Amino acid sequence: MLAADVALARPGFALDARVEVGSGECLALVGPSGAGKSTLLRAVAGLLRPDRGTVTAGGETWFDSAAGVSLPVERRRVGLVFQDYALFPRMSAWRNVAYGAVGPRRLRRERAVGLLERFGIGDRARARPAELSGGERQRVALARALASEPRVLLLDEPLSALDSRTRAAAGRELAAVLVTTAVPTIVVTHDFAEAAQLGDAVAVLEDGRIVQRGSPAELTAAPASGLVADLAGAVVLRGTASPAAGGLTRIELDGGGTIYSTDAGSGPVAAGVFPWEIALDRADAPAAAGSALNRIEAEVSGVTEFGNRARVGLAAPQPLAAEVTAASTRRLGLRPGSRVAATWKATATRLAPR
Amino acid sequence: MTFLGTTGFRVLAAAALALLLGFLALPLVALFAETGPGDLVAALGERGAAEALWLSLRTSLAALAIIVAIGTPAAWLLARREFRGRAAVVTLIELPLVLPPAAAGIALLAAFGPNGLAGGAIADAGIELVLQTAGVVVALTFVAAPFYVRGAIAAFEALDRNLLDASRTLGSGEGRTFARVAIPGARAGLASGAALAWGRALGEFGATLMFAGSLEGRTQTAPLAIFEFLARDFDAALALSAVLLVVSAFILLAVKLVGGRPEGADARR
Repeated sequence: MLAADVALARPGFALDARVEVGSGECLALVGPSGAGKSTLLRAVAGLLRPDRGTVTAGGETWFDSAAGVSLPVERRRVGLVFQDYALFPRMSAWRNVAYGAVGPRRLRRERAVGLLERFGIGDRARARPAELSGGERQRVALARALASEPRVLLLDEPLSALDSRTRAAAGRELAAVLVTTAVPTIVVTHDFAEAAQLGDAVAVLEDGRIVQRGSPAELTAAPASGLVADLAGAVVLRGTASPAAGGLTRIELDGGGTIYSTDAGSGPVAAGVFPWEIALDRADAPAAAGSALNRIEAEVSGVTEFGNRARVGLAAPQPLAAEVTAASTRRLGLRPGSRVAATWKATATRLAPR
Repeated sequence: MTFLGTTGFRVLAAAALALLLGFLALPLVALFAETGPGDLVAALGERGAAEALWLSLRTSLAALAIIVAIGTPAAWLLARREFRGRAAVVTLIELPLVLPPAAAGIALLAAFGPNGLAGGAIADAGIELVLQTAGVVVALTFVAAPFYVRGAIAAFEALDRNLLDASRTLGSGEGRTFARVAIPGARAGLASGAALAWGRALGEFGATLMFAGSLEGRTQTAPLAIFEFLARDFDAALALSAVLLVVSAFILLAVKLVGGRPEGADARR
């Protein structure tokens, strides 16, 4: 069990966040750059001293500003995987891993090589970091962090140094490793999909504060803020909400246009809708008398096909994106400049205050 | 800028480099043009020459050992810690760089001489410095230390902070991190600083002369011997200079080789 409740203020930046992670649980910390994700991680590790707060791990107090307790980094036993991996360049892979391992010399080496074998790079044990691929380096860094038998595992953007091709595979492998890890784990990322893949729970950090914590599905279904909706992949439209007939909420969009939502809300709101909830038709087609209450006319700004799907960028007063089948884009003859009508249901429109 | 294109600028820069090399190399070439290999060996047979060279090596090595032993942890502290007055401390350490050697010699006398500030304490401890070999070591340490400490501070400052942090998260305190990560990582910078300091110590003249004198076999280092030969035997002075040049170049090369390539050279290749 790891519990951290830390606050610190620096010029132009403030962090005031509380996280709890159970043993064997992995919390994914997401948020935009500068939100304070890495700062929170460093405060837990002891590389940075918060102005006030507490950090406890496994029943041991690592930091308590009120009691004047601050355990030095080297005595906290955190396994920290750095964003750039920070492997010691003059040491071979196994020496890197053995660096933090405990026990007699011979056992440390055995343990290091054993971990590298477990991660499928036992044959690279003698290579220097410069001779390893990005994916191999990531695994060495993870093995090194685990070799010290940490009480808490912290990963700072563990996949961001990888190219997109190795990233997917490395993400799957990392997720598999994290599942078997019994210590509380925090993984920092700015990518929601990665957070959903690696974390049992996701916490969103915005301007130094945790704005929402829940399972990936919960955050996607009921985002607490426009930022959360945006991170979770939704299109976010800004507007002003007011009650409308039938228990609906009417949103006058900034820049023009009106949409409805079944969520309650008033004043400035962020309206979230997932691209796959948006249907497209030609703008000159007669408006169908269907159940979709929201209809916005827009010009296609781009069409990106991936597999059997296509993401269609729409230039309306506020930009939108729709995800439709690749076949539909051809049937409708969608290309940049086409006029389309985007429709979706009021029930698919999530409101969050902003 | 259109009046000087890329090509024109490169030609100018190349000309500047050629001029610089010519100016620096000509005196060195002249040393050897005037001195045959036989003269070099003969020069060492000159009365006092071999002793002076040997004394130079011993005293400069002793000074270097002191400088590295004390300067390395001091430089680490200055590189890694922010504290009030840090800039003033660094400036103080760099002062001997710009201090004329003669003034350094006087300053050393005023501090450590028999009537100097710390002279009494030194005498009470039973240590004699003035006109003694130990005095030579003191003079060399004083003038050469800044060369090493400056290089060491720069080398430690250039270290990847994450590597030091990683070491600490892996259970190593600052001492082990210093020994296992910082020193190997800063090796190239430390070695080049040591080479510069050693070179400066080997060539030291003014401060040594003022503080320790020029007593043959005791405080007369190679540069002092060259000066004395100049008055009576120019060829011998020339030959000993050539020997000193060879020794210095060899030391510089050896230290650079020990230092190896700088950290991250693989990545830049």
